Amino acid sequence: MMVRTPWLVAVSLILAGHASVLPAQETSNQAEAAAQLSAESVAKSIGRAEAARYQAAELRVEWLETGSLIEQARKEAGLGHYEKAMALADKARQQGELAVEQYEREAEAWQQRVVR
Amino acid sequence: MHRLALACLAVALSVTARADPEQDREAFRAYFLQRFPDVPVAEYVNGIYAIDDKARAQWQEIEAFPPYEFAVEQGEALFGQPFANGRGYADCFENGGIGVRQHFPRFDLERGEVVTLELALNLCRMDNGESPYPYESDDLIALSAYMAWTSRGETIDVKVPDDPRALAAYEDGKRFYYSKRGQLNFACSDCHVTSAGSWVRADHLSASLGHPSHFPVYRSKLGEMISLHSRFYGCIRDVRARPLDEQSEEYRNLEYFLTYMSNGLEVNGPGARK
Repeated sequence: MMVRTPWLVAVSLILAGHASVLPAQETSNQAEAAAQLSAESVAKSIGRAEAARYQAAELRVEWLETGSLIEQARKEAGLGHYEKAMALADKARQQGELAVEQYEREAEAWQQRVVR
Repeated sequence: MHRLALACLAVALSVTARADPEQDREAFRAYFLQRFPDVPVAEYVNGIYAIDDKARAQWQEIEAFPPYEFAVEQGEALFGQPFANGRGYADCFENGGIGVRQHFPRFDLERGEVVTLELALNLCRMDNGESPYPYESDDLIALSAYMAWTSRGETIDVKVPDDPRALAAYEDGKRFYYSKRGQLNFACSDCHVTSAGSWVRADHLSASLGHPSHFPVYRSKLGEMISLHSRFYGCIRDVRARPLDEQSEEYRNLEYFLTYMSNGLEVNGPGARK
């Protein structure tokens, strides 16, 4: 009895190790792959947001926080917080696009407000 | 027939869109006189205090010891200080710069743009070999305050000369005034025409008529003097749009339109505001 105990412990440890190490490795690889994918897609999203912001700025109708949203997105991306960075970049892009839409709508709409 | 009707409509719209400044001014004034029938037109130079009795009582107490007096004194001293070349501000303006505020902003035909009083002061400095002041500088605002002070009681008389560039600048200012902008999707007119007199948080919104008459102003909440363009900056930021620089072409054109709307009212700057 005294002799068999270390064997049992060793076998249990090996089985347990086998069972847990492999999935952990797999998860880590998946996370790394997802992280790489996210880094690229976040960079693209930030690029799209910057382009939308630039277009609004050229028309002198940029919204107040668009630039800081992009800055925050960059910061979060730098920290590896890709989901957060993506959400910020998307919000910034949306703001840039909405500002341009607003400008285009106002090209005519303002005349309806003129006091006559 | 259908095409003819469309063409007529297009012509009508284009004429409406290019209504002349004087028609605009008369309609603008008439709107407020109808909106606030108990407020005499001359009162609009007092901004919100023309239509908010309680705020007016507080303001009158403040006016007993005007907080802008220091700026006027500072401006007077600066105005009298000669440049390194021996000339001074008085050499750059009609009537030695005394009592001329009511003619600003003006459209400068030579430069082809709107020149505000603050820009004129800086152009004067540069023409005489001095560096321009930053537009938010205390010195420039003090000079503007002094010049407004010497013009108190004069009638605002901004001209749009018969020049397509001048009319374009006026129209640009008008378009800016009536265009919605920012995340809150507000136009200047949404607050100061449509909603003038309504509550915004704990305050009433002022009427645009008379708005430019009393600048620069001492703002109690900031504890300092601010220019009209600084007020534009604040409003644009408040509707969550990125503000433009003071004295940008857009703000100068906006001032041009807005001041033209107040033609016929008195200059009563500098002022004191909450």
